[in-house]
Amino acid sequence: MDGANSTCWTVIRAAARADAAPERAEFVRRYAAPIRAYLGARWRGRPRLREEVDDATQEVFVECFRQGGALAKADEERAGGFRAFLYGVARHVALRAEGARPRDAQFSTPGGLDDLPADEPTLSRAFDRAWAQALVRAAAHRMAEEAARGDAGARRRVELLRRRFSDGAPIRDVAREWGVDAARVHHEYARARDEFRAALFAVVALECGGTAGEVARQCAQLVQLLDGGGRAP
Amino acid sequence: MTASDPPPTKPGDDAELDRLLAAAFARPSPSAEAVAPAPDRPLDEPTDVSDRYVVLGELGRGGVGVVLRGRDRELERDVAIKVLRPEHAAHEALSARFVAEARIGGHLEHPGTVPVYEMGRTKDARPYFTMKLVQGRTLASLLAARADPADERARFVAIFEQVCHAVAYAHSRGVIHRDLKPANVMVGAFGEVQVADWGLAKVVGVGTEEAPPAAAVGGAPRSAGDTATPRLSSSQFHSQAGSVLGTLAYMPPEQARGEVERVDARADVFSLGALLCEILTGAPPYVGDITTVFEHARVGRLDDALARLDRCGADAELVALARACLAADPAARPRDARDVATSVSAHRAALGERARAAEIAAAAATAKAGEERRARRLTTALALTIVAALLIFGAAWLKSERDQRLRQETAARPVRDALARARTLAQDAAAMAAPANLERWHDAAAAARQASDAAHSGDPGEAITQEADAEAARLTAAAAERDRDQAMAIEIGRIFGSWNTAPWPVVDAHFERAYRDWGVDFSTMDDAAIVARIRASERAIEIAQGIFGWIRTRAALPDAHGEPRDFRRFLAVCDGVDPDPWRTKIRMSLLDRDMRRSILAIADGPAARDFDLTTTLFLGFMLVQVEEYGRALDLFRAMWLKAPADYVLSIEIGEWSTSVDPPRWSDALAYATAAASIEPEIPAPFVVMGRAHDALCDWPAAAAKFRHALEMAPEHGLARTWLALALFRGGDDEGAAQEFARVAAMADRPPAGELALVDDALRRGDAAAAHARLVAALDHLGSGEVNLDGEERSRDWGDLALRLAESGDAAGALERTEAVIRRFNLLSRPWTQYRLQVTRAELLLGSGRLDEAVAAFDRAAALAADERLVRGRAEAAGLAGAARHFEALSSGEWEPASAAEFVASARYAQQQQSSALAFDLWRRAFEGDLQGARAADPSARVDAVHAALSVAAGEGADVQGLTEGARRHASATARVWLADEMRARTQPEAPRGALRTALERWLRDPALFVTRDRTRASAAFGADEARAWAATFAEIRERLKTAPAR
Repeated sequence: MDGANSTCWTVIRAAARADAAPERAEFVRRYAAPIRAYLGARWRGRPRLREEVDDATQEVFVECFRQGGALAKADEERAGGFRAFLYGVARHVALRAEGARPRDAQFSTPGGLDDLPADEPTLSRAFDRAWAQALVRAAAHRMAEEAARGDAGARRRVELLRRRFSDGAPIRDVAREWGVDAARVHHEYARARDEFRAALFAVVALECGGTAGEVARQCAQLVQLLDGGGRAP
Repeated sequence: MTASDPPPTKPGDDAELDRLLAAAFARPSPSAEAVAPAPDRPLDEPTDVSDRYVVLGELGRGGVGVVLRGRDRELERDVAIKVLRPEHAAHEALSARFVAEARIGGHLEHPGTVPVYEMGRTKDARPYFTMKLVQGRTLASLLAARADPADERARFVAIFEQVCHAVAYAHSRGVIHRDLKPANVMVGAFGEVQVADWGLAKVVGVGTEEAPPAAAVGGAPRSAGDTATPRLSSSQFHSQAGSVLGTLAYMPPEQARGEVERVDARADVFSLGALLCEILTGAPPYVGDITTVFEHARVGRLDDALARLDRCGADAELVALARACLAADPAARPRDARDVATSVSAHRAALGERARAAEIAAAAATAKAGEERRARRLTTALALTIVAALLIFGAAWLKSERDQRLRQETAARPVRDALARARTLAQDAAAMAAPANLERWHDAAAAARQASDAAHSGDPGEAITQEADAEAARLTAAAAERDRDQAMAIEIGRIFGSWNTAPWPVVDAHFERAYRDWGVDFSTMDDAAIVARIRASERAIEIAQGIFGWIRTRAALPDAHGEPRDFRRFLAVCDGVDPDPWRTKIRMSLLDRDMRRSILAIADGPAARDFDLTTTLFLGFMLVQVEEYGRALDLFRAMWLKAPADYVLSIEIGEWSTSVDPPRWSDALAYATAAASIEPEIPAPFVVMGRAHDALCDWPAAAAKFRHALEMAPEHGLARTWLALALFRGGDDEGAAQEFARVAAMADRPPAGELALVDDALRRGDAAAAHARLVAALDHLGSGEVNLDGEERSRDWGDLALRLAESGDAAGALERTEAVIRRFNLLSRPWTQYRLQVTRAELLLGSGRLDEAVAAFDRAAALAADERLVRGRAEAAGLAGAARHFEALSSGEWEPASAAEFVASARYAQQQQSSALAFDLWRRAFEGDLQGARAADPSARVDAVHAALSVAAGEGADVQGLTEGARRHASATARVWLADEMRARTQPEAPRGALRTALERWLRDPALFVTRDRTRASAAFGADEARAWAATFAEIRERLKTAPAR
């Protein structure tokens, strides 16, 4: 299965098959981030459960993959789409883990605001934020993959975005480092942004589906999700 | 629409796009990292390292490798996968070290080290290895979570003790860790401790007798240059500053200075001291910024650490131990981790003693306080009378009342705190699995007693004082109950340890006493009471398992009338305690007429793969009962991968590795070592280790292990016997004589001990004493007090009976053998009956009653009911044929026609003491059809060597007329045959390890004894032959060093 070019429902259907180990690995790669983020946020201030985030993330996948499990029952037409479906499974597993640790509360030692457990809307936002984060990173990954198959200029443009947004380097500094004219780097920068935008569009289209207009709206919503507002695509 | 279509509208304006780009390319912050998904990191790791594993995420990365969480598709379990980082793929030295780490890890089979499962290469050719995925927290995180270094000090010292034992084991294998620190110690959910990350470990040439050669760990780098740690190399210093800082804080000066030639086990001792320092003081020896730590570590500047230790308030013994370990001069530190472990264990044992003494004192104080309380009540009554008189002064009374309440509240506060602590600890203990919770119960009881003491030292009020007293009594009783359960579990282990050695009646008596002492008496209690008593224990299943062992004893033990005992009542109790359907089914197979078939049906069923440890042990024991040793061993070994820290499992594998054909001595040694590290106070593992060393011809090590076992169990007859034999084989005749004398003085001598005494008497030329011993031993074995079942005992019977026949009393041997066959015919297992029949047949042959011998051989062959007996059937039939033709063969009227007939005839001739005829038959067999004779019987050539040596030594009824030259020729031929055999076992088609098996056997073969001893060989064959034999054995020993392992 070509993981990068599969829609979420393709991945889900493939992963739901009993003999689909590579597909399951791809499924795990794609969706571990929001699940961990959700569980981590949910179990703030509950140190014992906090230690179980990894195991519970694993549990979510087990819940999805087991025969007759959540994936087999997943409904494409369900309101909220796949995000809501996965959120539901993660919440179900979290509740189950909490039920198995009823005494955890008496050992919780909140050390500050960061340790206070969150309410459900907050948790949903944490999930959405991680979800959006995963999508934009997937876009960066996709752009880098395409650049790796392209020419040196394409690879340089990926590096330019990395220097700009990861290292915080101003364009003129990058131009100085590379020994080229700043105007040319600005031109490359604009092109790099367009390429990223296209990659993001492709990722969101594959992930969520819908018409071109719907995809564009969903791309625009990502910013709100990253900032902790709005609802997920 | 497809993915390559351009977006018709742009997602957001520039500011929004900037936000998205920032999120896409931003570096994860440390806090985000904690919850960030592993796959979210740049994917430089394959998601499929091999077809077998699926990568589920990243657990962490170090300088050389990345640790991934993966799923083993075949065994359907999660594992940790360590993969060499891609940037190091071309770096040969790092790649070699990575492989060495895996091999060192694989070599360290100890519950305190993380087991390495498998090694391989990823699809892009990088080395990887898989390990157990340890669920738990690092000691570093546990230490960091303490509010105060004094918190839970006892718990952390207990963890430290386990670390010391794991490192001590590594040191005993010649391995030093070199990177011990809290981050490399994993503490599991049930308190199990494992030392991880052997990436910097080094194999040293020095160490104990068990130190593995470099080849054993895949030629791990041993040169001085290789020992420089990657983390200290200048090129990597800056890039991995964090690692250096973390490591340097625990590093001895000689290692920090890069003096690699001085780094030995004492470097680990320093790191252990550093770990203890952090446990006691809350910080490692060196603290500060990287430059400070680096400089202080290089010069061993420890004044700050020592000052912290002095004022930390811990027990003086622990502080002194930490100071000794942290000595800047390696020579001033304890020699190795075993010394440190011994000190910590001794300290903890002393603490336990002190705690028990304190319990007694607390009980006395409680009694005294009771009297004081009564006196106080009297005083209070008087006071109240006076107060009543003073009621008119109401204001004064109210003030007094308020003061009293205030005083009581102040006094009650520490009592309540201690009570709350005690209850929390008790809840924790109840939530944990036994026996890991034992210490927690004692902590809870101690906290409750503190509450009681505090109540009696002040005046917190009657109600809370009674509450504290009651809680102290309840939790002290609960802890004592757990102690009793633990002692019972150890006792059951001890009885199981004597399972294959002690006579059944002795095992039966041990079980009866153990259960009675624990509170279950089958002679006075009814079943319901017994079930209730056992079910009340946290260790009910273990204790029921002990009863199951008792059942097996009873099943094998006839009563005084030779009838099987009724054990249904025991089964009913087991079912009542442990109603698990599979274990019930396994137990019920004892009542099945064809027990073997029903046990195999369960073992072959699909459910067996998913059995838990307890059920697996049940099933394995039953497979042993039906003599499926190999199957039992396979089952246990598969389970051991899941439960390496289980004592019973480890010792069972060790025991049964000695009983399969061929024995797996190296396995026996490894698993028994693991068992000994789990339960160091049970002798059985040391006996198995001794036997393995003995079989591997390391007699000093064997003697040391037997002695250790005997220190714990001086009446262990087999250990004493094997010690005597090991001393004898190792050349310590005087020590052997002393031990033989002790064996002779033992009341419950095992048959093997009797046989060893017979040999000893024969060596001393005391034939009458040897005969008397043989008769007494056979009478004892056949008395009905001892069950002959099991290979060892039936083989013992055959050995004793044939030896008696050899001593000239064939009639006595035959008479006793026929009597025992009659007695045990209905009760014994097929294999026992077969062996007794073969013994009878051989005795009949020796008596010249050939027709009866043939019939007896046929009867034995008819008993061959399974594949394992086919060889015996062929041997019996062959010998029967040889017996029929022996007279004709001796007179030259009949000639063997096939390789198989040659082999059988030669063997039979040897039994008839016709050594010259046997030698001639072997010679002709090999000259005529070498391969055919070998194929007919793989051990043919060894028997041929025996026959040739008999001729050379002038032993046999038909060798009198042979010349000196003919005897020398026989000796030389024996050497040629040994050399042939050695060559045959190095051929590609030979089974793996065949050469090692043969070489080990020749070094301990009693028939070759005369050739191994230069003086005896010279007297028997002449100086030239003696020299040639010495050269042969030198070559055998040399080859053994490089022979492939089994």
